[in-house]
Amino acid sequence: MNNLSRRRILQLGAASGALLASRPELGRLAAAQATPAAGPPITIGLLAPVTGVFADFGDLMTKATNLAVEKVNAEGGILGRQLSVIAEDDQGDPAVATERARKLLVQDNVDILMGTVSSATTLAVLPLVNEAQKVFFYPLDGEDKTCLPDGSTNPLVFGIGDTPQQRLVSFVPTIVEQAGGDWYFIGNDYVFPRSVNAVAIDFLNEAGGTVVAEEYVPLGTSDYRPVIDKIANSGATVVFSTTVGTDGVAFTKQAREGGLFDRMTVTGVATFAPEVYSGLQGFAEGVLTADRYSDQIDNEVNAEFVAAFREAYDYQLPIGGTAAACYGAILLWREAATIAGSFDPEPFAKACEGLAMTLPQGDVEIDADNHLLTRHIYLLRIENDTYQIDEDFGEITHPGHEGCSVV
Amino acid sequence: MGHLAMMFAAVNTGLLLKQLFNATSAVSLLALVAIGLFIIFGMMKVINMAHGELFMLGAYTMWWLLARGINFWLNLLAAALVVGLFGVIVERLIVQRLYVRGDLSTLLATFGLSILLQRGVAIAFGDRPQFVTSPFTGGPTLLGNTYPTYQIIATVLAFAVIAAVVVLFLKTDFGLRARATIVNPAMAAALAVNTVRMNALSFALGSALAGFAGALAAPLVSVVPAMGLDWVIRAFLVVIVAGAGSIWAAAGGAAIVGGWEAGFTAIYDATYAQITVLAIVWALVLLRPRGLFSGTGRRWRR
Repeated sequence: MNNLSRRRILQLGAASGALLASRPELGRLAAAQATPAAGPPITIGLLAPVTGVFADFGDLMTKATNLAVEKVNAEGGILGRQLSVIAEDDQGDPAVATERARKLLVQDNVDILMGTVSSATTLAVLPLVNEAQKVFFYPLDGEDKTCLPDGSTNPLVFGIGDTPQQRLVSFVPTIVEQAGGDWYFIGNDYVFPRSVNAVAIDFLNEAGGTVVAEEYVPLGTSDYRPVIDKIANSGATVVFSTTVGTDGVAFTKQAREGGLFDRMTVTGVATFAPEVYSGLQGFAEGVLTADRYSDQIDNEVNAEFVAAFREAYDYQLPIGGTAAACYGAILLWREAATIAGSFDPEPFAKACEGLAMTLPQGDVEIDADNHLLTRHIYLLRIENDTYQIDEDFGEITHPGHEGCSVV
Repeated sequence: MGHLAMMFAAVNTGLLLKQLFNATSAVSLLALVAIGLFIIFGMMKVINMAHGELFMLGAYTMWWLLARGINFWLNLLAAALVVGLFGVIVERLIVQRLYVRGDLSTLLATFGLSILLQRGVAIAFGDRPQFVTSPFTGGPTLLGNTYPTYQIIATVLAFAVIAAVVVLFLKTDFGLRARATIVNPAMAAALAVNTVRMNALSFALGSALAGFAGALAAPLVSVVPAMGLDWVIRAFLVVIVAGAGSIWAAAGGAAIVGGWEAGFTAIYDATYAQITVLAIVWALVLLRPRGLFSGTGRRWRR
């Protein structure tokens, strides 16, 4: 190691300093952990993909979690104990997620685990959680994953995103009524779009509509023009897109330029998520979409969250459900632990069941039977750089373990 | 389901014309990227794994300058210059020191560079998509389909630049030396061609083309740190199909890869378009391992 000169070590030191400066949340995290606490701190394991294809989601999860932890700590912690976050990067990869989850659960022995973005990573982590007997919250939207292979409810796992059934049950008939029932389904070629479309097609048939076509494009495609012109000439009155992330942005830009918005109603889920609004902006003007959260929701908890998030991270874009869910989770935990008088997995999980409170997302209740959040779903209209609430579909409960993907 | 019905529905003159336009436009952009890759590969036998990131840097240059109110068309030029200059630096600092040691070391070095550039841009500007729009909205309508003005102009511009590069290669003194270096570097050096300088120039030119293509594509696609991947993969397919023979071969390869993808997506399905294009590349490599247009020898080298 004599090659590693003193000058080189100084350079490395400067580089890590620069990294801290460029990622203020890291510095804040370090500061939060340094705060003296009454008892031993409660450790939160956060599994967030801050690199890889879901990096943007992982970044928002980390930011929102740290913000909520800071708030709760400033207000006296939970049961007099401070919170500290141990964050690990799962890279959006099930193999990495398994390894990092094991590290958090076994080596760090965290009190509670939260995280993962894609269903594949969530499913990879579930067996470890049961093995370690720790409580696990997955905060993002997606199909039900709180059941056990025998169909009963997993006592330790809670899903606080929303399911496609919740998201679409009122939305699909509303759009059929407004824009007609001839729907063209376009999505990326993997599990999420196919499972969302399966649910959407059920609701579409119930509403008396018909499927003009169902088409899938490989993830990572940058040219959607041939598909868009097929849609434009298909006779459909509605196109329902589940193209995701950067694919969704490319699809929207090319659909807008190619005149698709002038010929039919363009809608969908994931494609128009606030998380990718930085790339969409004017291209998505006037679009109607359904979501579990908008930063325009009118309640005190949300007002405080939005103001704090904007200030802490100098964030001017619309804030989406990813950040709100992680922030809300910490508030749920404080409430549940206070009721249980403990952070031990069994009494804590029991206290979570049936817990009702107001979060940034609106009034929610953790369903005691299926461990999913009963919550409001909103019809949102993208207008002037905000996700305006056009209609509140009201509190919607996921039916049992319908569509549960744990096998 | 419904694919067969859609194939017949596609026999609709308006749609057919529009899909031909889409394919032409796709080929023009892909050819720009692939010719840049081809020049670097043909000249120096360097497999530039960071070519997609040069494309990305072009798009980010466009975004950065546009956000500061600078004229769109000037930014196209600026992107080519900035990324071209960056190419010179990369060639001087990394490639020139390594390529005498063989293909593998430059492949690994440029692969490392591609990761460095992606993460560097992500740390500087974030992973989220950036907003780039074209100076035009909409465009003329023909038989019920809109032909966006920007896409028409971008296609024409791309072909104009390709034509200029072809002229540069076939009609100028630089081109003569470049072609000599491609065909036989040792002989070219013996005949007083400064191959070190040729290498630097060709790396700069290849980079500038990638940067220009990135800036030109920015209003159409999602501007994110990883945006180059889709392009570099297809550009590699083009170079594999075309071989290192001539600049025409690279253009022909782009027409096959880009045209097949757009055309097959138009009449059938995008997933199968990507599968079949790989099958075609595989078949062509088996049949013509030295490149699709290599068989006729000298004719293609001029």
